[in-house]
Amino acid sequence: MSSTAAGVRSIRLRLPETLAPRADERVRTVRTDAGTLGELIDFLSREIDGFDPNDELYNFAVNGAMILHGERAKTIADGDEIEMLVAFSGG
Amino acid sequence: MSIHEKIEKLTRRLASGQQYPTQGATLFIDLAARTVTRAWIPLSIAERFLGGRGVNMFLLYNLLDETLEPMSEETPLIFGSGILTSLLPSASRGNVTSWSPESGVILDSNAGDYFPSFMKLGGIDHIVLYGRARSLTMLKIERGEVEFQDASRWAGLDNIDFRQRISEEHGKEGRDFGLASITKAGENLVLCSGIMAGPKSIWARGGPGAKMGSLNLKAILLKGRGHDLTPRVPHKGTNRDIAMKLLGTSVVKNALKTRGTPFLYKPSRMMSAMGTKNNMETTWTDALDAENIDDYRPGMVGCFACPVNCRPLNDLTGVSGIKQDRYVKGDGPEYVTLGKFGPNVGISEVTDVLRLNNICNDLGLDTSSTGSAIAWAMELWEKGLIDAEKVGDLDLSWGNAESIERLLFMTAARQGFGNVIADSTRAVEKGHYPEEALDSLMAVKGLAQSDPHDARILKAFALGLAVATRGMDHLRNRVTLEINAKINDDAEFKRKLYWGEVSSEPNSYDGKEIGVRRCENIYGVGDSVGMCRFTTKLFNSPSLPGYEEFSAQLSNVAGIEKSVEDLDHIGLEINAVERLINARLGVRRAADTLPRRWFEEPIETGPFAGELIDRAEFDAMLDRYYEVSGYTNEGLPVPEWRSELEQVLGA
Repeated sequence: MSSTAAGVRSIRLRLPETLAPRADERVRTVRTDAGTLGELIDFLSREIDGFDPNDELYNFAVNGAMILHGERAKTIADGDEIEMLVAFSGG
Repeated sequence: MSIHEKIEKLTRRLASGQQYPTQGATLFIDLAARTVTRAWIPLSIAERFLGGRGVNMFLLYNLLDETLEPMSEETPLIFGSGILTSLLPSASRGNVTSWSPESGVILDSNAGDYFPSFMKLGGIDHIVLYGRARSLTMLKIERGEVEFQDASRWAGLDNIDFRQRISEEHGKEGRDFGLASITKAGENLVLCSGIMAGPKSIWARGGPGAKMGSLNLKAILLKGRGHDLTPRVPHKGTNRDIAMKLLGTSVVKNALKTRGTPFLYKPSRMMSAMGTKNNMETTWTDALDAENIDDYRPGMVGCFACPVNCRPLNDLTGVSGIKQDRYVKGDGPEYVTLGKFGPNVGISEVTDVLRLNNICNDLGLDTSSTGSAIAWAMELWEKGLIDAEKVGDLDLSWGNAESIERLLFMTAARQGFGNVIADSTRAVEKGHYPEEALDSLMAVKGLAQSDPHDARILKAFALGLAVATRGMDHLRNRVTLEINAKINDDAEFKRKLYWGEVSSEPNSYDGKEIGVRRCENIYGVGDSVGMCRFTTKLFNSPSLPGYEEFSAQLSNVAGIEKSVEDLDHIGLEINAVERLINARLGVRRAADTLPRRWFEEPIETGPFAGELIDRAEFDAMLDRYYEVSGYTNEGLPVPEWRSELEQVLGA
């Protein structure tokens, strides 16, 4: 996918079932000028009901690679596939 | 000294009446002689080790004779409810402790549902069992009176049928009674069998089912709730605050209450840290992600009086192509079962996992050990180390759910190749497999890995599995928050959380000993209080109840005053006692290690391709763990501390 204007990125976003209960609403295309994951998180906190940007439960994966640290500084590019996922590891 | 003499010596040190408000008695039950001795844990011991797991270890330390065998009738089996079980929101748990016939080190397992709460409600804090009953027996304990009942009419019954029969006679489980019981597998001394605490809740790890079966004890039935649980001062206001706190955390609200632990599958899969085909691979299908179970989940249930209800039910009624029999619906799966009977054995259909989960619940099999034993066999089959002469007409190809199902029933009955699976990690020792099979055994201290997460990436996870006192088990000390980017990226918050520096990079070795130490301490305290691991601080959330809440309610309920630092030290000491017991069973530093595969074979795929455990780095991390723990280079409390501890323990 290509950006429609300079600085605007088209991101394919996949949400977890906790934020998108219906399967048909989990995958969406987002247009944003966010250049880092941190900026995207801030943007999504305004766009997605129930999403708290400080909620440690949610991690992000960029093009399939889950980000375990350096989250806010991670750069994102036009056409990236970004997935928000419930990340807990004890059970 | 016989166990009778040890008990006589110990009970002379115990109290003859209640020591603090809500305390229950400790019952010493000789199943052979059919006698019961009642005593109370002294306040000084409760102040040192609290209850549940901590006091179980005090009892085991005093009663264990390491010159015997785990299944000797003089090796005790100890049930313990937490000091605050049934008195705190989500504190519905209790421990079963002994010497493991499966691993050869300590057996210590934790479960919920109803039994631990009914112990407390019935005025019992600990039950110490020894002596082999003359015939299969059920203990019925009502209003403090112990009755030895003939259980031969229930011989061979598995979980569904046995609980049904007991309900017909005694009412509704969870309302009228609590029940701890074994299945046919336990009666057959299957080393990967557990003690069932409910339809699904199980004391699983270390073969407690076999241990209970070796005493010829089918079940313990608890009836009646008459014990005076009046706290020292009112505590319900604080409990309301605790309930609000835990229900308000994101992980409870958004994950545990809605779908439960199957959520864990996806992050492990995406990291390429999913133990697949006996950990030969690390990535598997997304078809087992939690959302793919949604269609088969009619609701969520929970343990006695727990506000969370984290257990997903399953129902495959009417699903095309699925056998519509007694296993069409059930309770579960947890993430462990999803992993161990999914990728670990090459299964990719959710419906297959659900069915096998339901079968394991009925047969009373530990899904960690049983799934691991089957995966081990499948690798050996693939490599030609075992063949049809060993396995009979079973096809042990990866993903053959039909074979696995047959094998579960054969394991419970110790029939054919099931007799090999029933010997779990001891299969080489018992002569079933050649020596070289040990190269692919995923176990530490004789216990197969509990969970499916491949810990070559997250070094804190790896250290935890290596040093856990009961063997390769994540529940003793997992630094779960290593997976959370926001916590990793907040150095100050992370430092405060763990009371020390832990590297922000999860695949770094730096500081991971600090995380493991802190988790080991608080989880030990949680088990001794009776709190569920899922709602204890540091297990999946920094915001769950922890020392502050435990401290407040220990004071309110029991009048036991412990600061946050005191409680952390208690957790440290409980683990130290476990190490002392393990030392008597021959455990030293060499046992604090990991499977060969993780040191020698790098992860092959995904963003962390190339990761393995570097031996030199691991040894240095282990040294640092011993140092922060106050242990010697052999992993035991340093001499001055050890001497003081042994004096208190008093054996």
